[in-house]
Order: sequence, then structure tokens, then C-alpha cells
Amino acid sequence: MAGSQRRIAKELAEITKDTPEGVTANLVDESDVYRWSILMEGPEDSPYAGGQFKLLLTLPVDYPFKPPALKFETKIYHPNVTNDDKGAMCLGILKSEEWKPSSKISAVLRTARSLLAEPNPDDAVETSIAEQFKNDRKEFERVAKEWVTRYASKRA
Amino acid sequence: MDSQTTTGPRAQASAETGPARHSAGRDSRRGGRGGQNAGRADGQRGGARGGERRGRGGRGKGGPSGRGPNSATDSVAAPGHRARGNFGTRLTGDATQAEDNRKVAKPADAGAEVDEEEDDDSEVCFICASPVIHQAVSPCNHRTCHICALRLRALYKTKACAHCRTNADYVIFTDHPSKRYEEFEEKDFAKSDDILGVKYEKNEIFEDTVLLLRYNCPDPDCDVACLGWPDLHRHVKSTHHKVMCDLCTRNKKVFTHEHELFTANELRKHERHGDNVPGAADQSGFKGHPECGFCKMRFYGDDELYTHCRDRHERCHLCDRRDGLRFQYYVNYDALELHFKKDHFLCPDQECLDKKFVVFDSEMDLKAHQLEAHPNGLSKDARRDARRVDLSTFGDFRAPHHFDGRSRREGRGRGRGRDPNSEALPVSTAQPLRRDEIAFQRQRAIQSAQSVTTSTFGTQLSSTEAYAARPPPQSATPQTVTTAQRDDSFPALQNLNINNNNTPNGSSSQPSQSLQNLPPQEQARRMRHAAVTERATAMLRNDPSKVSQFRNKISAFRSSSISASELIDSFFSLFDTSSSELGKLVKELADIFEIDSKRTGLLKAWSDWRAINEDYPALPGPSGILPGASSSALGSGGSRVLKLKSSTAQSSRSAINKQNSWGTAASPSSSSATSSSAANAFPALPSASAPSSNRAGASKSTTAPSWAGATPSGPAGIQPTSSSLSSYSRPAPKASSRGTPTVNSADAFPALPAAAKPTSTIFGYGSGAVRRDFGASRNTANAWASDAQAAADADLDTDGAGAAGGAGGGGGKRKGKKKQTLFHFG
Repeated sequence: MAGSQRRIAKELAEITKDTPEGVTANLVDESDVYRWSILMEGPEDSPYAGGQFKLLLTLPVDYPFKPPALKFETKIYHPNVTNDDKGAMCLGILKSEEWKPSSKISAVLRTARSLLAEPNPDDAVETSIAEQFKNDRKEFERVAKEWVTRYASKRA
Repeated sequence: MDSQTTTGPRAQASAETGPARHSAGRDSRRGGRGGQNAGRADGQRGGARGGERRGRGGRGKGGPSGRGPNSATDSVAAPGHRARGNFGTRLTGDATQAEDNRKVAKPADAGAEVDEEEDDDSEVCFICASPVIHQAVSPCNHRTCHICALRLRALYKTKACAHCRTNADYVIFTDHPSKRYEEFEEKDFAKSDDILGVKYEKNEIFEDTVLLLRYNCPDPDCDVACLGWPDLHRHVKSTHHKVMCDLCTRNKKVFTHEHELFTANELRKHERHGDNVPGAADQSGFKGHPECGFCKMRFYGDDELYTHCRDRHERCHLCDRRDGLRFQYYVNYDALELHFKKDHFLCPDQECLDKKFVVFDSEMDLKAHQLEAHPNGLSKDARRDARRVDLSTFGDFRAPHHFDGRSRREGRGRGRGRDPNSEALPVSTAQPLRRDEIAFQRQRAIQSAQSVTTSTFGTQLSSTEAYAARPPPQSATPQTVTTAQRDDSFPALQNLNINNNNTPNGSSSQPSQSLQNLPPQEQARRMRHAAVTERATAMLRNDPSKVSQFRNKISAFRSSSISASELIDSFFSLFDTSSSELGKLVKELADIFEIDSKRTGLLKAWSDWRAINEDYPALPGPSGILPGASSSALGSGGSRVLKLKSSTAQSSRSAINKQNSWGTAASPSSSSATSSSAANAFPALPSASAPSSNRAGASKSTTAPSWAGATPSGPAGIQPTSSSLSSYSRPAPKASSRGTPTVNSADAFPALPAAAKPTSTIFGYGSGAVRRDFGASRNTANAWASDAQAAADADLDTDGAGAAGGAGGGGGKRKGKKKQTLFHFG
């Protein structure tokens, strides 16, 4: 369906022109508009500050009628990102029952970054991290920072 | 096939014919411009492009030099333009095409295109980024193009606004750029469609919309609209020598003309790997249709495959609980039961086998269950054994296979009546473990033992053969089974039969039982007749005139005054019901016809009818506009795939099986069909054609001598000549030994009357099977015989092995047969 391509191409152009803060988006492969490689900087006043996270945004064939999927390729200690090799991010607007065809990729990326700044422990996929986030913020931040140094440092 | 460059634009156009067609109306309204385009399209690439972009071509944006990637495409597209030039209403095909070409270039020179993008924003749909032809206004006053709105409503079946998800009963399709929803009045609408929930401001918008919903040929140069899916498939095949992907046409949420045409090879590639050509203009990101490894059937997507596996195959809940969801499936319950026997603790009591899923994580749980649920089935010794907890084995988790033998030996040595715990403790240095700990340890042991053989879903699927091929471990059957239970694992047909009749006794009672109620075939026949009548009456909602009409039709068919297809047609008009309901009725009806040709004819007519009328999902749309829209919905998918795939059955055996079944009875799914094929093979057997006769026949023929002596008796002499029977024969030992007679088949054929089915199926196969195998090969017979001896040693494991081994050949066969029946009526 070339319809999705047209829309995706448009959004790519928009993002190239008006990049959301702290985010760079590129196609994984110039010839494939359905897979975007995202580089996301950790928000300044968060434990993830200074880290650079690589994400993969996959668009379905029937985008924008179906939501994209976003996953962290860089390990991150976060209550809303699965702590496995999938690194799936639980993002409200990406759920199919909440997805709107009018939602744009730039909005998705902005929401994702704001979730880094403010984790949502009530909608967590990693409950133990969520518990820690709620009850022992200091320790949470310590581990999160440690993970940033270990996995997400820009020099690496 | 042309080179890449030439196919590029064509494919684009195919994807874009939607807007193109819809712009027909627009073009006619702008007749003058259209004419201008027609003139320009001739070879003037830049001019044509400019003209279509609503006169903005004069601004000279993007000269040919500015878009290198496009020039090739454009120049090749030129002939296409010219061809279209003759066809006035479709001129704007060029517009969208040009639009598309421009977009393709975008990733390369996005910067240069941005300002153009700005220009387009006013006339480009927010959702699909395509030029807006007509607007759709929802009550929340959000706007999309009418195509997006229609896509959501007709294809995605949602009435939610694309912008805010507000549900709207109606949207307005209009050309007015800013009029608010509430400003429209009823008189403003030329047409209204209550099914889609669309009100049309103008008739031409309505026509444009309806055009989208037709069965348009996807070929960009073909303007044929077909009557329905079958018609379209035929057209595509005969006119363009191409095919459409069946799964896509059923599931993909695009308009008909947006589907793709494939050559046979392309289709294969599409199904297996998807048709994502990196760099191609029409790349779809699609990676192929996943396949069910058991059924060799493909499904539209992972979700559909999952649903199929969930519904048709089995997963081990114990393994799932233990390891998390591994998505390992077993082809059917028989295979799963083998796994239960092998890797878990399956209660071997027939009642529990019938109940299914009575299986435990640990032997202790099984023993507890046995003591609780069937204490009477156990001998006194066995009960004592069952109550014993042999802690000595708890320390030896790595060798679970020695568990039973050792505990039994030790048990004997220890003597009777003593508290096993008191002496078991010294044997093992381990502290008493909690039950769950024990279970966990055992599970780990089992897991490590089986780690070589278990495979995850996707890499290799476990099948019955796989399990049958492996020797069952000693621990598979607990030692506590008694003689009664030995019968279960021993492939005793009589026993099975009895259990089906809820008289769990010794096998000796069987013959007397079959004589009990005088002619059982007559009884069953009446039941079948009653069942058919009852179903029909229910389906006709007790309308007496219709019921009598139904009866008349049937007698007309019986007396050959109408053909089978006429009968089906009359049913369709008579019954206002879903085709699956109708299918059940037809199958039941076919069962009661004792004349083989009638039954075959009826079933054939039914599958023909279904192939034409049911198999394709009807596109939603204004009823009456869409021709050939049948009552079946999208959900009815699969069946045709099944049918198709069945013709390429994966194993030669199942292929043979299939052929034979068609050859003889053409209705392999029903129990009566089985019996009828048996009847064909044994013309001498009396009353074999009556459905219920199976049991009687079986009880006559399947007698002890045939097992023990393995001498080909009279009927057996006939049997080997019939190849069709040989194909049936192998399933039998397995089916019976498994002791899982019915529920599976019941699931698959819900319409069949409950009473006659299990026995007839198994016996229809069984009687033939057993004897033929024995007649053919002494070895097989010996295997069984040794089983019998082993059974005398109360070592049931060997029984299990024998049964499994003997059934090994049949496993696949049975699978094939089962699948094949699914193909026909699933």
C-alpha cells in the first residue's frame, strides 16, 4: 500500500526539518521507510542524562491505521521498558486501542523521551523496577545511572 | 516481464488507482483541464505533471534536472500516460502517479521537496498524505479525505474518527472545504448509506465511493469490475495470467484494486518471504505469511497463526507453567497425550483419558489423584503402593527414569503395612522436601532429560511421529496401574468401545452388549434422521410450511427429480442462516443417504456451492450495490486455503489417504462415510452402509483371534485387495490404543450426532486395520503379542512402547486423515 509510504515519507521529511529535542531519526536502510533508527539522548534532569539510546521504530504496512512499534536496542533500566533483548517500550499512544491514525511519529518520539524523564510506574512492564522507582528512588537512580554508563555512554 | 524501471510506475499506479479512479468525478467536473492534460500527456513529461498539479506546473518547481531518480521512471511512464490519454475519465491517474514519483525521490532529496510539501498541505489528507478528492467530515468536525474515512469504516470496521477516536454514526462526504458538520441538513444529502454510516452531499461523491468498493481489477490498465471474488480471481487469471494472494485478499485491509497481482512464482515468494524489494517504489515492508508447521498452511500474519494454533493444536499447560510460554505446540491431543505420558504423569484411567488433560506434574500428584478419584480401580496392593511416598528417590533427581523400577523393588523388600516414610528417611540423606520443591526438582530432571528432544515452535514442531519414534521412558506410566488400566494402554478395541458407551467393564462384556439393543444400525439410523429433522426444524424456526418444503426437496432429491446442486440452492433460499450452519445440515443429511452416489453428489454439490459462494469475504458496502456479496463474513477465511493446501498434502501417505477417501466415499469426515467406505471395500458385509452398523460389524469381526492368532480370516482375505482400506488401517491401532476416542473428532465435526460417531469411526478403521496389518506382516503381530506378554508382567511401559510403536506409522497417517477431513469441512 503505497498510501502508508506517502504518509511515512511526509513524516520523515517533517522530522528531518523539525527534529524533536534530543532525538535524531534516520532510516535504517535508505530504501526501507518502514524501519527507522532513532538516537535518543537521555533528558537532562533524569538519571539517563548523558546517555545515548538507540531505538528501532518499526512501522506496520498499514500505518497510520495501525500503530508503530518502538523498542530500545540499548539496554535501559526503566520501569516501562522490558529488560530483555526485546527492549519493548510500553507507550500509551502505541497501544492499538489508543492509537489514532492522526498521531505522528514525532509525537511518538516526544512521548517516548518524556517517558524517560518521567517514568510511569503505574503502567510498568518491569514491576520490580517500578516498585523500586516508587519506594527507593535513590537506588533506582543509582542503578539507572550505572546502566547508562555501562550501556549507553556516547563514547561506546 | 519488463525491467525494473518499467514495472516501477505500473506498480505504483496499481497502488494508486484508488485515488485515480476516484478522481474520475473530479476530472469530469473539470472537463477543460482534463482535456488539456490529455493533450499534454503525450510525451510531455514535465507538462503533464505540471498540469495535473492544478496549474501550478508553471512555477517550474523541480525541473528534470532536480530529480535525477525520477527521470527514468517518468520517461518510462510516458507510454502509460499516452495510453490513458484515450480514456478521459482516468486521466488523474497520471496526477497521482506523478505525485508518487515525487515522493519516491523524497528520501534522497527531501530538502528540495519540503517547500513543495508546504504547498500541498492544504489539499493533502492529514492521514494518508494523498491529495484530497472529497472530504469527509465527522461530527467532531475533523476532516480526512473520503478514502481514509471509507477505509476506516469499510475495511477497518471502525467508526472512530481518525483524529480523535470519537465514534461517529455518520460522517459526511462533501466537497465543501469548511462547512461544519452541524451546518449540514438532511436536505443537503443526495444519498445516505446506513451500513457504512456515510451521508453523501453529492451523487457523484457517492458514485466515487461506490466505485472504490467494487471488485475492481488490480491491474492498473484494466477497468474491469468483477461480480465478486471468485469472478475477480477468474478474470485476473484468464485475462492477465496472474493470481492474487488469497490470504491478502481475505485479510489485508485494502480496497480490491489495491491488492497485488502475482505470477505463480511471485506469489510463492510473496507468501514465503514477502515481496519487500528494498529500494523499490512500491515496497510494502511485508515479510511473508507465516506457516503452521503442522498443517503446512499459511496464515495472514502472526496473530492469525497464533489463533490457528490455539484453536487447532495443543499446548502443554504443564510445560507452559514450568517454562513460561514456549509456544511449543502439539499437532493434536493425541500427540499431546503422548507427551503427557512421556514427560508428565498422565492418569491412565479410561475415564480420565476421556476427560483429557488429567495429567500431573509429579507422580505424587498423580497418586493423590488416583486415590481420590478412583480408589476402586486399584487393587489393594496397588492402593497401598499408591499411598507410599518413596522419599529415597527424592535425592536422585537426575535419574528419574529409574524411579519406578527401584521404588517397586524396594517396596517389596520392605514388606507390607509399614510406614514407608519411617524407613525411607534413612535411605535418603535428603530432608523431606515440600511437595512443590519435589515437583520442581523432578521437573528440572525431566526437563534436562528431554532438552534434546524438545524443540521450540518455529524451529521444529513436535509431531506424533517424533514421539512415537522415541522409546517412552520407564517413568511414563506409573507402577500403580492395575489390570483394568492395562486394558487402557493396551490397544483393546472392545475396551474402547465399551468406554464410549459408558460401561467401563471388562472387554468380555462387549459382544453381549452389541446384541443387547436389537438392531443398533436401525437405531442409529433413526437417530440420525431425527437429528437432521431436528436441526432443520430448528434452523427453520419451527416454521411448518418451510419444514415441509424442506422435506419435499429432499424427497425430490432422493427420487432424483432434482439435482444435488439444485437441492443446495433451494436450501440456501430456504434457510436464512449462516453457511456453516447450513454445512452442518448438509453433512448430516448426506450421512443419512444410504445410496452412495446421492451422498457423494450432495457433498460435492455442497463443496462446489461453498467454493463459489462462501469462500470469499464480501466487501462491505451498500448492499444491493455489491453483487455477489454472500452472507459469509471475513471470519470465514481459511476454509479455502485449507482446501487448496489439501491438494498439496505434504506426505505421500496422506495424499494417498486423501485420494482413496475421495475415491471411495468422498465424504471422509463423517462417521458414516467411514462406514460407507468400509462398505465399498467389503461388499459382502451386511448392513455396512447403515451408519451404526460399524459397531456391530466391528464387534463381530474384531475378535480376540484376530489379535492373537493374526491369521487372515475370511474378510481379511478380501481386505488387502482394497488399497483404500490399507490407508485407513494404520490409524486404527493408534486410535484405539490411545484411548482418546472422540472429543477431537467431535470438535472438528460438531454436527455429527454424538452417539454413533466414536465407535463407528474407530471400528470402521479398526476392524480393517488390525487384520490387515497382521495378515501382511508377522512382525507387527509379534510386536503386539510381546506386548501382551509384557502386559502380563504388569509392566505397562512396554505396553505403552508397543502401542506407540505400533501406532507410529499410524500417527502420521491419522494425522493426515484428520487434517484432510478438516480440509473438507473445516
